[in-house]
Amino acid sequence: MFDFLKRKRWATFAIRHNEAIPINIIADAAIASKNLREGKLIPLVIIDRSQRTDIAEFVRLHQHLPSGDVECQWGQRQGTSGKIALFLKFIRPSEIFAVLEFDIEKQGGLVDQILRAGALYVQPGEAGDRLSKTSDHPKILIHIPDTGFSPEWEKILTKHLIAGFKRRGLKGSRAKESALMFLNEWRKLGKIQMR
Amino acid sequence: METLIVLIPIIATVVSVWSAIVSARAAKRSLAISEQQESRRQPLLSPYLFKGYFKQFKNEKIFVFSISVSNATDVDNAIVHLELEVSYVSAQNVCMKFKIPHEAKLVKNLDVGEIKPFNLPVSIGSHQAIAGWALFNVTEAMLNEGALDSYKVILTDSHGLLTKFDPGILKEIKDV
Repeated sequence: MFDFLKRKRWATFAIRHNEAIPINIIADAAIASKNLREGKLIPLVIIDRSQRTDIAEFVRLHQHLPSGDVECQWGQRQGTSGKIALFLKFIRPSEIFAVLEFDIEKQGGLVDQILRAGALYVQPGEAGDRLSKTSDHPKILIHIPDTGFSPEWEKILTKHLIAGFKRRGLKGSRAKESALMFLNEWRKLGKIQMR
Repeated sequence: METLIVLIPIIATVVSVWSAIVSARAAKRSLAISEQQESRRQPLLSPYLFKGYFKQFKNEKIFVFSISVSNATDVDNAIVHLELEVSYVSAQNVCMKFKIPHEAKLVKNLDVGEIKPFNLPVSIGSHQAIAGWALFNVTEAMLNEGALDSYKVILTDSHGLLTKFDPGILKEIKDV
């Protein structure tokens, strides 16, 4: 299904069992601030605090410490076709590993915006939380550097969009045109910058 | 004459066995020397803690360590990061660890005479040693009513290698 799967490189991580389970994303939103990332629209995910109390504590703690270090890697967990995972290895202030998994069809736009903004906010919360209610809750801003994944993502997203349009009844080049048009329009929205 | 003929190969065998043993010993010693030389080319910092104190303030605790760091290898090195890894149990019963960086400016808060904090990054040439003070500030807001469990000092060298050590039991500095 994906070209990139044919030449993927497998990697194994030495992590605790609970860290290998993707964190449940409750809601997502985006924030643009004048003084951050040139005012770009930075996506925010609200994650389930009950699943990973250590991450909730880590985010709280981070408010009282200087900025930390994180290594990130885009990839796919074994046996999860149609999903893309962001592996986050926090080094400072605490050593914690986390996996955020996105459904390409439903959350492809979110992944696309993370790549374009080069950053992501993570805020622990609970079921039913929305940014409108939790804007003052602690959150961390993670820099997502360009790891060379963008060209691969472009192909994955385009293929998924084309497949989606085909399922809705469009054929061949019409599906491709519609997918590209949709992507352009989506990215226009994502280009909004606070000045 | 016949006995001599029988003895010659036996003597020759004994001599060659002895020679092989001597060569093997020499080779083993050479290998040990080469390995020792090679190990001296691997970066390694050896920290030593002279003294460790803490001073309790209203909402914070400042930890002070007098440390010497020696570099016994043939490779030049440097301390890039100096951190205190704090282990604690949060109010929600989560076991956590966090690292706080050394802050030279904390020396102003201590009022304990003349101490010379590390000014990072600091280089340590091969077969050299340096000494200085490491200062860390743990605030109550960081712990958020959690219970402090233990702490370790971590040095990160310019080769990216981490050296951890447990500062043991610390004395409290009190104003009298």
